[in-house]
Amino acid sequence: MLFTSAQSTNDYYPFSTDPNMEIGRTSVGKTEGDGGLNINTTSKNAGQQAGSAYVAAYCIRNNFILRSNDHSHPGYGDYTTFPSGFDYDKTKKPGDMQFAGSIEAKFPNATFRIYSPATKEYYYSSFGPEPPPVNIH
Amino acid sequence: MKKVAFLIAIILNGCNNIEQHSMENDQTYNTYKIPRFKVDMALYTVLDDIINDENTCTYSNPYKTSFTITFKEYDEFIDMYFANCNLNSINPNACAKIGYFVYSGRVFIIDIPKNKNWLFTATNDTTILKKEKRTEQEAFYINDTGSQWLYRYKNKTTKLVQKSICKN
Repeated sequence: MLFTSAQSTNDYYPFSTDPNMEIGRTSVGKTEGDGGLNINTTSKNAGQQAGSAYVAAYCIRNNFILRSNDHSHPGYGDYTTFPSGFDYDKTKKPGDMQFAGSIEAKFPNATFRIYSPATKEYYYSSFGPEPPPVNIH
Repeated sequence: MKKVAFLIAIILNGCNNIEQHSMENDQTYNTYKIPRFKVDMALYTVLDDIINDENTCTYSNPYKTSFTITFKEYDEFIDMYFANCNLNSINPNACAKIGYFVYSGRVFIIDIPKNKNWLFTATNDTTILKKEKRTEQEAFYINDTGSQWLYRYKNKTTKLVQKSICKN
């Protein structure tokens, strides 16, 4: 699904609460609002979501700016708000943190968020959970 | 004790196969010594809960599914990230900094603890892990499958913070 950035922010929340489906949203393009695009993707299962990786790979190959990637951690009661991938060093099973790292290498300012079923957002990076970014004037 | 011996055999099972191949080309394999740790009784309840959770998963196979524990230390507490794993997938590059313990018939792969007076104490035992040399594919995507638990250790007690189990 394609949305302009202005459309998508509020439209994303209902998707992120589906307990059976992990949903991704990748924001691409130089600007927010009508100048940018948000691309919502899902693999229609609760544990993985390949669409964001395709979008990210396209951006990296074509030098198309990727601003942020969000995805949901669905669940009926048990869900996590921290990124997966803490065990990567031990098992080489990539998770959210490694996905973030592969994007940060090309787009260091990209932000990453996890949405819980309570529609709360949690920031993370390739290092793990992060506090929300702060604007300094 | 029989269970422990059996689990070590599982760890080395794949290695026995690898040994047969390595006779043709020894350059293809490396061996690693993994130190064994003893886990404190204070963690038994947590470990039981994790094993019981994982037993509810339809994909769970007690002979293959084991667990990793990754520690993140903060000033006032230590977060312990548990995840299920397959012993065959242990990363050879991590072997210098990991240890293991066995509890209730399951193998837990841990970071070698920096704090020696903690929940894990070193023993003199080691096991040999033989792994094939290969180039890992670095293709990342959003993958939250499996089970994960976050426990927080603070003031000598361990509490569950979050868990997500049996994700396919």
